[in-house]
Amino acid sequence: MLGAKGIDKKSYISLVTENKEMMYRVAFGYLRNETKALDAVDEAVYLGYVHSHELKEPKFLKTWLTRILINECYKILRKDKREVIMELLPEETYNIADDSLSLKLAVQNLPEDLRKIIVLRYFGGYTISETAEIIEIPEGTVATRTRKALGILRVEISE
Amino acid sequence: MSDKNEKWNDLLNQSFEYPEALSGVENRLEKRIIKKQRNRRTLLSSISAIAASLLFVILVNTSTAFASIVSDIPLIGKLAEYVKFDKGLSNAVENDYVQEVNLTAWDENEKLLLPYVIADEKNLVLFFQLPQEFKQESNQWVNIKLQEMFDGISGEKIEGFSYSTSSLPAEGREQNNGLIMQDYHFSEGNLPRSIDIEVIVEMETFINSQDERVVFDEVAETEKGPIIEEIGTFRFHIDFEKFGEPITYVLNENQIIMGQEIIVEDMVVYPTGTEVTFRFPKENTAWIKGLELEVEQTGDILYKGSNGISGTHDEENNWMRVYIESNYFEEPKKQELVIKGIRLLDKEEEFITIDLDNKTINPVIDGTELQEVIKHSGKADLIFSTITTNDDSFGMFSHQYKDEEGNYYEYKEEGSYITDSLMKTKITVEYPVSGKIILQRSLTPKLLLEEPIRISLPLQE
Repeated sequence: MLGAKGIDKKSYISLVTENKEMMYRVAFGYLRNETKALDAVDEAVYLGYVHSHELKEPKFLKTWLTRILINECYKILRKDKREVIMELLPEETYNIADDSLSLKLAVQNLPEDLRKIIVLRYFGGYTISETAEIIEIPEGTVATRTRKALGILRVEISE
Repeated sequence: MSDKNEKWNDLLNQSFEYPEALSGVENRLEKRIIKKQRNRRTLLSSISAIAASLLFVILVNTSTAFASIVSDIPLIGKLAEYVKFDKGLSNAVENDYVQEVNLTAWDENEKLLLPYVIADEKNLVLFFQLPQEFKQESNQWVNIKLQEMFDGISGEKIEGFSYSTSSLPAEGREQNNGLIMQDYHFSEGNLPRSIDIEVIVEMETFINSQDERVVFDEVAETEKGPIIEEIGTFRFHIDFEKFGEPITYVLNENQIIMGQEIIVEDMVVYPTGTEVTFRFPKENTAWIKGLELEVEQTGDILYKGSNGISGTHDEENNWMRVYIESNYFEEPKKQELVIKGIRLLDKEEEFITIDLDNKTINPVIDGTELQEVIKHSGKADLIFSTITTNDDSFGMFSHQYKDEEGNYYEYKEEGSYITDSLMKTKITVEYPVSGKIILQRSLTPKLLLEEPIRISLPLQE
């Protein structure tokens, strides 16, 4: 079974092996949960394979796969966003104490455009240039948003 | 290095702690590809009008010959995306267990669509859809909240159920065709064959840019969080098609777990979910507050706990029903029900007395401490810290507490979060005259069994 034009299954799986750790770190940066991060990675690599015929240039496969992964993380976050219980049920707690901003929660509470940059750059290890390519914004904007996000988090990192 | 930078590095380092399951990504991918090919061949052998449309969707996803019409995936294809986190529901959609109802409700000029439902006696999944012309800005989320549900024939109000709902941000709306999914579970009684349901559509507007912080502060003087606006109230009458007959496994197996007797009564498999019923003798010294279950086949995990709903029990804790994904549409094969974890609450430690002045808990609870008591305006914030593992998060206390005179009160505020294997739970109470309150514990940390209990499931014809 062929995926993208010019990429066979074996090559695709090699690419997955090469990048799965990075993908896991990005998913973990978004979801803060090992199981959900694994689910997101599993789903992204599968969707990447079945839709890879849509990819125009095989050389952009890694960037494209990262975008699919980010969408999967959004879906998981959306699914977790609301849970309304009509009767008292055990197991789940749902409210985050709003005076408890650890750094972890601070990243989660960043505006989405800033959170994406932080997760890609510091969890994924992408450069400014690679991040700009994934999100499809200018490199200058990546740099500006990085500074803004780090400012909100009150973390000092020299670039 | 500053403290903040140290914490930042710790946070990043956590993402480098790769779980063992990451090594299996390639294998799982290969298995899914093979399964997709097998499903396509199975569908080809039994064509029906609806199956043909589902086949169309699957072929579109996997064949280059259909690449040009990928953008025109029929709405039913989107359902698979929505339910993919639940293997049982995914199988239901793949096996055509979806009812096309095509309902529309109006509130003056606003419209809400309900194109599809999935239903059986115990579970109801509603797929609402926003009309294309519905306006939504990039910082707005749409929510749908249930108001009431009635039996569509008798008119009786339906209670004894829980539900979870997705929300829809502007980003991704087009991709999801404006679908919002709600998942109902009827723990007490069954879903009737006909219902009347009333829901409210709300718009949540988030002010999330620092540049607009001043505006946010002006608008949200008395409350934090997004601005919520009601769009409309919508009513639907739904008549369900015949529900799939459940498959019942009568087990009546006695097991002893950590000194407590558990009787596994039965397992009932519905098209969209599975209920496993347990009974507990009064002689047990601990309440069984939760069980982690899986269905396995030759060592592989097939089905696990349902997302968002794990179980219900009666008030006396004599029985419990635990919910896992359904294997209703699978071919009958040798499988095992596996009990992997348990939550136990010692009966003698169910009620605890909190001394707010001295910050003590009596009796002492292993792994839990009262970390902080913050007095303010006649109230007190109590912050508990509990050792937990694997990001296990749970509600520690019942929603009511009492004073030493036996008067009951409701919490003013309750919340929890996990950080570094510690679960912090905060409750806000009225500061008691005596300085003491009595809390009723609800759940406890999950204990994973070193040797999971395995129960063979009889092969169904």
